[in-house]
Amino acid sequence: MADVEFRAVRKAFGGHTVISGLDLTVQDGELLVLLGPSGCGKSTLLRLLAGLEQATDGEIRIGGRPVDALGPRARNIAMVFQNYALYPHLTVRGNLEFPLRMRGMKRAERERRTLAAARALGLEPLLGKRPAELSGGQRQRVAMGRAIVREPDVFLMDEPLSNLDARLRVQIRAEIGALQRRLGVTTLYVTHDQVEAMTLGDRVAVMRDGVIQQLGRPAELYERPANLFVAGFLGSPPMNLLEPAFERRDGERMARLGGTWIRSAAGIPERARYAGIRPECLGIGASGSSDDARADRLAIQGSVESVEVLGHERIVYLRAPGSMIELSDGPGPWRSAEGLLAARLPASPALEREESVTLTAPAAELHWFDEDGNAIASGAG
Amino acid sequence: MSRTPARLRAVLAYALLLAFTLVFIAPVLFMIVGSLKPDELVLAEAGSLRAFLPESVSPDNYRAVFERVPFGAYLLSSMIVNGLIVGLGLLVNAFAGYALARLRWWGRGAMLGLVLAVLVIPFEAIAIPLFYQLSWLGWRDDWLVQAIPFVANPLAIFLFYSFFLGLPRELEEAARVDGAGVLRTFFLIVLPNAKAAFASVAIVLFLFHWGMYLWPLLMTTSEAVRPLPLGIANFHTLPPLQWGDIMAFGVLMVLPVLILFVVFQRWFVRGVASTGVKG
Amino acid sequence: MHRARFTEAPAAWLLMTPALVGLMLFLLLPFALAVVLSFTNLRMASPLPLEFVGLANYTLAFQETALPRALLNNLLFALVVVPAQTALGLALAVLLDRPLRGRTVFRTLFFLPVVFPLSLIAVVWVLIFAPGPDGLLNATLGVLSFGLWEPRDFLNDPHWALPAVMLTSIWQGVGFQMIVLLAGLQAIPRQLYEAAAVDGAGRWRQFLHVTLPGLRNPLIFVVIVTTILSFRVFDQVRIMTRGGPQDASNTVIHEMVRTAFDQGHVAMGAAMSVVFFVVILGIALAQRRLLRQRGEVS
Repeated sequence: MADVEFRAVRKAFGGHTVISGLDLTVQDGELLVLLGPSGCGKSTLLRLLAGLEQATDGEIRIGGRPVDALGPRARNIAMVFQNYALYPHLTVRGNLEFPLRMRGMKRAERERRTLAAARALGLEPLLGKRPAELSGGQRQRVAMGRAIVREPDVFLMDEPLSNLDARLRVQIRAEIGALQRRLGVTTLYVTHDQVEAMTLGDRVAVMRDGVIQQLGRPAELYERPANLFVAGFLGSPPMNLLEPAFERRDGERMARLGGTWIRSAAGIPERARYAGIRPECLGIGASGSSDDARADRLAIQGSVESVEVLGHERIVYLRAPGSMIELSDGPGPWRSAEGLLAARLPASPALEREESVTLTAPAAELHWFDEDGNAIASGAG
Repeated sequence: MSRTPARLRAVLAYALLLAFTLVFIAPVLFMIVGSLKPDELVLAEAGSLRAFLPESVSPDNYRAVFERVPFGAYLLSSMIVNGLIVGLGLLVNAFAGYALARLRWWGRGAMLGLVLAVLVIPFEAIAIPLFYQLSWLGWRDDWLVQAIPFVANPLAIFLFYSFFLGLPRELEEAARVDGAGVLRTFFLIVLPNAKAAFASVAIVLFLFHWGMYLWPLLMTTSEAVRPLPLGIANFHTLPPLQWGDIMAFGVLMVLPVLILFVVFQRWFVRGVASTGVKG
Repeated sequence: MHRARFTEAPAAWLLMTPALVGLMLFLLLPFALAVVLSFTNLRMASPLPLEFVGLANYTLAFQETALPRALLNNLLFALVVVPAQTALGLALAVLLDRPLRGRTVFRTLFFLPVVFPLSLIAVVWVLIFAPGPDGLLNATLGVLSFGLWEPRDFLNDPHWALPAVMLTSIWQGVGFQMIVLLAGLQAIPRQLYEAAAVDGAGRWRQFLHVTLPGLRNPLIFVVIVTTILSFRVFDQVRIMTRGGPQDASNTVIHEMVRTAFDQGHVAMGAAMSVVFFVVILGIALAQRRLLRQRGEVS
């Protein structure tokens, strides 16, 4: 068992910097999820730790011991690859035994450990088969087995569920969580799937462009996103992000959101530039006049663009006046957009397309962000 | 064109293919039939259909091949020389291809450049100085001198290099994380999963060298180490000129290749095609 | 900042060294030697001291040996064999690139000569080209022309010796072209043909606009390889005609071997090697250029 430490780690491929000066500590026994869109550097971070890539700068420690000068085999880590990377020419038994053979373990001990791992994952009947004869879920389990059989200091998992169908994914996700808790091995888990991150992680690090945007417990990230990126990345659908108009009236800062003026009494920080509201905080309210300023509630009127019925609830997308913003793929981190306002609503009453609706929420549910997109700690959340 | 009925097109295609088949099969058939009939009839009957339909069949010519020239020695030499070239060549060139495709080391770029550069040096351009170089060392007239210079082969290195580049990296990375070093990764993981590449390169090396003529012509003088191509050329000039015997020699010479070809046809085709697709 | 690293360099050099030694000793060194020797007066079993003679070998090679004629023959050889073999290989590949009963058998038959040693093929074809009305080819042509064909001695006729060698080479090598082009054809996505058919293209137009562009790379490869092989021709010539009659079928390599070994003029043979290498290098460079142009387009 060991903790893992990244100190000022930088990685550049040629001239292209993928990770710039990253610090991160994974506590002993913790399952830490690296979450982010593709290309954010999360897999690179994992490969740096495994020794499959070498850092351009900085230091990596496992259990307090610097490992930068060590090759993968000397680091005592185990890795589960996205496509499992099972050795096609070896049986399940051969796959499970491989890491033990590489460490020169005696035959009897090897057999004991292989059987124990196979039993833990329900692989005993499959020991004589080759990977090509296994189903996706079975392959995934063999990959897990090959990782645990050696009792490594650290587990690395690179999108281990992404090749499974949805139902199997839920099941194996739970198994991985249980296994990790039982073994208590420090685990670094890479995914782009926020549900996996939220359900599995003791802590989650949200990454973007090689920089950790926020590190914290899942609930923390959801309730208090540190910036617009995290806010817009987490949640399904994610937080609605808006750019209100601000105005000073009688020395008081007011923000106009979808036709409602909100007073600073409701907690508009001075530096606020952007606002965010979670879809589940919105409810259907009485339509009111847009001049009817109410300090403590926002009310946004718009027409229904589409409705996704999920059974017990609906996601309603509203075309509303006012400027939505969204994450940008271009030079800036976010941009103005003709976006739709998403709301999570109960299954009834029925709503028609084009129907005019007013969505309201307490102003206290608003998240505020400054010019640079960073969250402003305030009365909100 | 598209209005030509499909059936008619198929008939046309078959007719063309059969015509070509005739052209391709005739010399081979001519050789086989010639090897089975009396020497004096080979040439005499070449102008008639008898060239392909022997009146009587006898193994006399085959017996003559073994009696008049040391066919067994030629065959043995060819097999030993080619065995060495293919066996050692696979290992040496796969090693180099792997180091170039997968490992990160200072000098990799320079080495890759070197391999690509010497790829254009045709053997014929260096045959003379190489002959001198090895003669100065007093090294000639044995099996090794016919094989060793051809073990390191830039084309084979390049074929392995391209193949390893196309192999998914994860298997090797998994092996490294599991505790295997570079060499054990190569032997335990890469090798068992690269049979296609090894088969293709083996075939290419074999095809290039089984018919090798110029080099053994320069380097060998004793019949005991001369390979089959020199044997048939010698035979061809050995009086009295007996065509039946020569044809029998030819059949015997090509037989090992034909057996290999029929058994490993898939790999022959793939090997040859891979030189084209990747070269 | 100095950082301790783990490195794969020792393993890499270990793997590279055997091949490197081989390439150095048996390719680079002799090549350098060829260049050096070509400026000397080295002769086999000559009592004269080794001297530097400058470009004399090159000048003499072009003035007093059959090298110019040999180069011309190689050029003729390439001009005839490359287009003929490529067209034939393409035709066979197209014929076989369809669901056809017995396709594998045909493919095997057409490829068969490629696996035959050239020396054997040369000997068999010597017999096919045998002079007089009983020669296989003479007799066949006689039958096909209803007796109008005058039998001749192909290999000893200055007009026929080179074409005879060409014909042998085409027969032997076309299977190689066919296999490479067939692999290329099978790599062309079916949807492209379907799209072209939907757009109203007939078979001929599909061939022009889908097949040929899709075969660009294999075609370039095949043409280059055949061109290079056309300049390397040796075995057939040595066995079938010995370059004759009167150099009518002589080739660069054949002349080189004759000069260096039959006549013992090693230095001049080396000079011919260098000339030959320059020709091959030119072709190889042309290949790289052609292939790179394609890289820029796609």
